[in-house]
Amino acid sequence: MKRVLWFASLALIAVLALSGGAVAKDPKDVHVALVMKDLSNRFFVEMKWGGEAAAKQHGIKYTPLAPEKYAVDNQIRIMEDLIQKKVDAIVIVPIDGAGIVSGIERANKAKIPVFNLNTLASGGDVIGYAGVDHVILGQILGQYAVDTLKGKGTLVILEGTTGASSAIERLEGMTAVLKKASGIKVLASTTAKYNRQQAMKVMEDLLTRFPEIDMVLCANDAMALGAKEAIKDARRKILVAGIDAIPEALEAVQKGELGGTVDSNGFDQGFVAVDLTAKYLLKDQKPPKDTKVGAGQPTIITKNTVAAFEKAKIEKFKKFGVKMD
Amino acid sequence: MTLSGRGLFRLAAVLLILAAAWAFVPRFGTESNLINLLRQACLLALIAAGVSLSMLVAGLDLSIGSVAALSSCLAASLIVQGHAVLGVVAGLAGGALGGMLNGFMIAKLKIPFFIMTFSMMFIIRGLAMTYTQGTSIHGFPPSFTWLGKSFLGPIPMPVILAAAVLGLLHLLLTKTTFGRITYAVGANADAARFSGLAVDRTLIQVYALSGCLASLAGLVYIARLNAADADLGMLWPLEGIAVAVIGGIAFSGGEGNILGLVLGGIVMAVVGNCVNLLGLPARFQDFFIGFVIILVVLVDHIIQSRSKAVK
Repeated sequence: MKRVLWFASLALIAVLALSGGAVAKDPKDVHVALVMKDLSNRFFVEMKWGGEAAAKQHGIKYTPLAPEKYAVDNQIRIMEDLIQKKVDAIVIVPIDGAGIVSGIERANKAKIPVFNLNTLASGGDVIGYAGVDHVILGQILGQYAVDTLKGKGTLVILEGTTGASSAIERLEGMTAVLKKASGIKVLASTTAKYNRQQAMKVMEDLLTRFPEIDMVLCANDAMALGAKEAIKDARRKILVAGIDAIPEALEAVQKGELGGTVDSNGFDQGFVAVDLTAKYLLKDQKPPKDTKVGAGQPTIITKNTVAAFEKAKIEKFKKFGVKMD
Repeated sequence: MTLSGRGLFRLAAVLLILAAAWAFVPRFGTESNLINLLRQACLLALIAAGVSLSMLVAGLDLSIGSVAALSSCLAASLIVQGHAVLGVVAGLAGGALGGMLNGFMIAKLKIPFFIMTFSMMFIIRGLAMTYTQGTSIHGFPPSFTWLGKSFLGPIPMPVILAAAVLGLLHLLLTKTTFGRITYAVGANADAARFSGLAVDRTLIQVYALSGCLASLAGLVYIARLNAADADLGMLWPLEGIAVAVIGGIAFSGGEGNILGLVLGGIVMAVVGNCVNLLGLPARFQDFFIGFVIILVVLVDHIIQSRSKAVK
């Protein structure tokens, strides 16, 4: 009898030990957090939905977060909290690629895998990076200007937040295309910090400075919408275009108030990042070093194409069961 | 009080800056730019009005930007449904309510004003973001956008509004009991309390008024932008303080003339305008503003200590 008990307990221990590894891989116990820049921006709200859709597919626990104040220190504080809570992985969208490094290093020390999304971090160990190619987005916007102006005219550029990698790359894409069109003159290129209020103010001053402007290219839609109001108030007619394809911009494109916008695909970015991270945790698949989300796909959305674009997008959200509220 | 001397110094400084800009900055003196400047200056003065009131009672209201964002988003929801008047009233009432909460906690529960309004800045911004879910509320009817977009002759409506509001505030602060108590509380709250003045009530009123003014600025801004979103007024507390300090409102409380905000607004607007007209990088604007603030306060101190020495 004693012998049987002994064997039984040995068998039990063996079973527990063997299943131990498998239990850790139960999706229900896997918790991934997505730390974004700012949830007051529709782009990141769609990114949040993308992450949610991927998490649902894998059946894992998912927490989307963003700092109250647009500052990298606050993102690091959120990461520290997540390390304390012992989440299984963190997907980080750094406000500042250099500033976030100490946060990533802290997660490294706690052996919590970090996936880098959207804005490249300049240090620390990450399991992979995914992002949209901002240079391509800028190129598409620049090409739109060259095509609409037929290679001849004047324009001003409103840049994103100085120093942000997306701002640098979007500008790089725009200028690369515009440089080739010798008939197009860039009168001014200045920052309006990705902000609508700021863009309206800067545009008011630029309208005074230049009596003739044919087109305004903006590194995001919020600035395009702010610039548009300033132009309307000054009773001038200038074509404005932006990037991100936020709903309000699409509406304005439909009405002919904005010339066009480029989709930067927030939903897909969130989806890809959480999907790759979940596969790493559940199936031990190492993500590729650099995943380009929707590369080659983005095109300019104009009055002619906006209806088809919106229809396709809503169908996609429905397919993934996203609650759009 | 050496108001004449110090007020004159401020006026002279503003005139000097204007003259310099006129002489050296191309297209500065064009009619369209001057109207543009006047509007920017008056909006800044309006933003600073609430902060200035709290500074007069030796406090500070850091929540104005957040209060403006939440109240104008709430108002915007009503306005897009066609209820322009109701929206404006609701927005102003919401701002006053938020301010009243600030005042109550500060006056009655003795929470330090900095901590209270600093926390409210985050709480209310969070509420605004939750409310809008990252979208904007946009497309207002003309019955509302005139607040920000219309003109009376050549004068933009925000300028007229700001003039009316600052004029009324000036009367309120100089001609009424409320005004006298406000300055007394700012100069020495304990002394005011011992002389039997209603210090707590005044504090609550001042912060409520500050919240209400923040909402008004928010409404004018969303009317101009033709859209409201949760990140309206992120920098308003800082811009407001800058305008107030340049305009002569003392941080220590109980000192300063609300009409000085017009001068502060002009200085801030001219610096930003010139940086853009000259095509300088935007960072120069921050640099110059910081420089101007220190310069103004420094010269102010010198004049003040001189006039004391004369006495």
